[in-house]
Amino acid sequence: MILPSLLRVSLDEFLLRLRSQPESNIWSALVVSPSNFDEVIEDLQSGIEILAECEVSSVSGDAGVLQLCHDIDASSVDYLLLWNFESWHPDAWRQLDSFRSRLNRQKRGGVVILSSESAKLMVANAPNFFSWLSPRVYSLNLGAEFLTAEEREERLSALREWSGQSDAEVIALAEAKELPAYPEYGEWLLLLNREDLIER
Amino acid sequence: MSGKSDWPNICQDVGARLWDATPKTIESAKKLQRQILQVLTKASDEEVLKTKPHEIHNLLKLETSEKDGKGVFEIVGGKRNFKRMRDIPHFERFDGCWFDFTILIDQHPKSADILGFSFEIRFPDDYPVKFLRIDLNTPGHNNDMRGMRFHVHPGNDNLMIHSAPMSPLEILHLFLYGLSIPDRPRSS
Amino acid sequence: MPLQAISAFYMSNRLDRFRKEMAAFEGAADPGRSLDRGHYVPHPSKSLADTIAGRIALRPTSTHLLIGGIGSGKTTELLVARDRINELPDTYAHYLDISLDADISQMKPGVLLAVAAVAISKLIPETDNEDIRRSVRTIHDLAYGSQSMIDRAEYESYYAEIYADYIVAEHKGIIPVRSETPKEIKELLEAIDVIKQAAAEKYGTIVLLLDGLDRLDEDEKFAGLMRDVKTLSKCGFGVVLVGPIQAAYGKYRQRLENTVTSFSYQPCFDVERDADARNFLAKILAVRASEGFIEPSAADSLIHYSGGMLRDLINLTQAAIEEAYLSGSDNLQPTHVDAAAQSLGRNKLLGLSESEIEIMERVAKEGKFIPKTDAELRLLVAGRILEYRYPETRHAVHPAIIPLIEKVPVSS
Repeated sequence: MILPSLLRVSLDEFLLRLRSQPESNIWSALVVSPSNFDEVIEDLQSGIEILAECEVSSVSGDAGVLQLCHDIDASSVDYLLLWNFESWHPDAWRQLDSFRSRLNRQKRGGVVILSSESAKLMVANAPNFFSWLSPRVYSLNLGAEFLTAEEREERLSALREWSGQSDAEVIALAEAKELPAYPEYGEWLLLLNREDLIER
Repeated sequence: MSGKSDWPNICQDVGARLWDATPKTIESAKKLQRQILQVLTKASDEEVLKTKPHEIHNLLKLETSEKDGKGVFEIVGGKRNFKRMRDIPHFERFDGCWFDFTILIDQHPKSADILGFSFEIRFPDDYPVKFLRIDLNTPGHNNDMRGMRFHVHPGNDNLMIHSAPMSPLEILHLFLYGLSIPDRPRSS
Repeated sequence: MPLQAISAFYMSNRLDRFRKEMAAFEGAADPGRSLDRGHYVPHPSKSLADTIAGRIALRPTSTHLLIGGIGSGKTTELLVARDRINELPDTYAHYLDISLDADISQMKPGVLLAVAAVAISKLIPETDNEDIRRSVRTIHDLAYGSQSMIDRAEYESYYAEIYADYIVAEHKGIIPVRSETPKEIKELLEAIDVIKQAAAEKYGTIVLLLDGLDRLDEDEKFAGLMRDVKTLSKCGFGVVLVGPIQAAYGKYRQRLENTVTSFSYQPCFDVERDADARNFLAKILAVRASEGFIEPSAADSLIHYSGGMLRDLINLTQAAIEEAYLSGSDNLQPTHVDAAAQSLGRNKLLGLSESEIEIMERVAKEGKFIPKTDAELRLLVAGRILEYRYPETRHAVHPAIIPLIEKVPVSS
């Protein structure tokens, strides 16, 4: 049985959603594969500062619920990234659930970053917290802001039609250092994974 | 200073002077892409841009060969449109002007250089000027372009003049908020 | 006209407009803020707040338990009850979220008493009366723990660190919970006895409205707190507290019903079968949104997909407004609600097992549901299955979930 999964959002889309929110205590959650945690936290932090124009910092849940609540309370930034819940057992989530009111902040709110397994533990053991996040719990579609293979081919096709040349001809010209330095050719080489031939 | 023969030197000098004044280095390609997203979305909020927020993030994409923090990035804004066809997805202003762009960036571990870009804005059909394109060619030893690496095409692919020393974000602001179409064009 | 002037001419920025609309629906997190903004809409029939306030008027030191599902609006009812009770002469209702002062996942008998005692002691005006001052200090020390210098000879009785000839002894408080200590409870009650007169002189009867305990996941733990509730009543205080929905279905139900004066249930509103309920939810939307912002068909859709759960209505609407902003629309339309409801439904399906889906499919088909197993109770607690009491008792799968489970292949 395959259940409908969480809605997938790209990081850019999530940032636009966050940007659209008023300055009130709104929380979301993003389900991310653990191997991508570091990259996502860094990307989110920088993206939120630019798109939502507010201060943001990350708070780790590694030291447990009480420390997490303390750190949240002590934080003066507008927006928080909570992460590092992978060591949390059901009891910890139950404890967080009982502390839910302590997450009411005067500032903007935050986002919880967690793995699929942790998300399921959260749902099962922190139903009040989850009900508060819902329906803003999404699965992060990492890399969705990059061109798809289809989009790459579409652009290559347009470049070929524009110049009347083939990929091989363009590469040959680039290797001979005879390719005009138009930005269109620069893109062409990148799309063919030959950006090494772009003169610097 | 006189004569046709001086023009290549003058052209090169002007080009070099303008290039010196042009912002060339940024923190990272991803950061620039987000800044562009912010500028476009803000313009949409102000209803200067008709393009809707979800359309903006579908049009604004990245391409890269990056590995371990190094490589070439491309920021694309809108689909490739050499024939200037209105039905190909693009950004559109409230007054009917429409545009797209591509930016090439050489990413290093701690900073990034603008390698080249192309920004083109097209005016409504009844406007005497068809388009304006600002190109920064990639670095090269192409003698034809010496001194004209960074140039503007004022409505014609064969006409070129040196560009003002603007960064990609500044050009974007120009396209969004500058270049307004007067109600009555100045007579020639 | 230069573009800068044109953009300035469009005085209202689209983002600002949408943020304002969204901000009107942010009270789910803090019901107090919604009340402050005047967003409360009176219930179609007599609300539980009115009922409870009426009962308190008759018997100020009575005790009342309000249970309901997550997001059913219990806190809002408690806050409205506070306001109603405060209209009564010689009565003062004091709202308290226990979870802000204590770790309720560790609740044991005595903790509730200590939290209440601290709250009451803070209501006492400044006084020169030494008995009262001492009692307030005692309450604080018993609740939170204290340090005292004790003679070295006594140190074996306590955890201590050596400090010259005296030892600084740490006395752990009742609120950071430790094992039951009848001696401390007795001292606490004596201290409460001293301060309650001072409190009564200023406020009349104090009624404590205790929130947060509905997050206790085990009804056994909750039942264990009833002793404190009874004690508070005996001390001369009224008590209204919220409890988890499990309390209505667990084996302690009878004990709870026998302990408190009244046992009320905060239901979902049956928007499918009760026109008054539909109108009530429609009014909640109307009082918060700008006129004309929510298209009538979108409002109908919001009400339908909320299932009559107040928090779901508010959260869904806020999420739908976000969809409307991203799509470039000027107002909220049914397509935006559909998108938000999709996300809500998928959220509610997260982590469910095959057997739980089968239970929901059965309820969707038969409309019958008597929660007996832990799995069944969890579905009710988490608002995946909704319970309605009026116009008739019935159960239904949350409407945001139904379109999604209908698509799931039937297991052979």
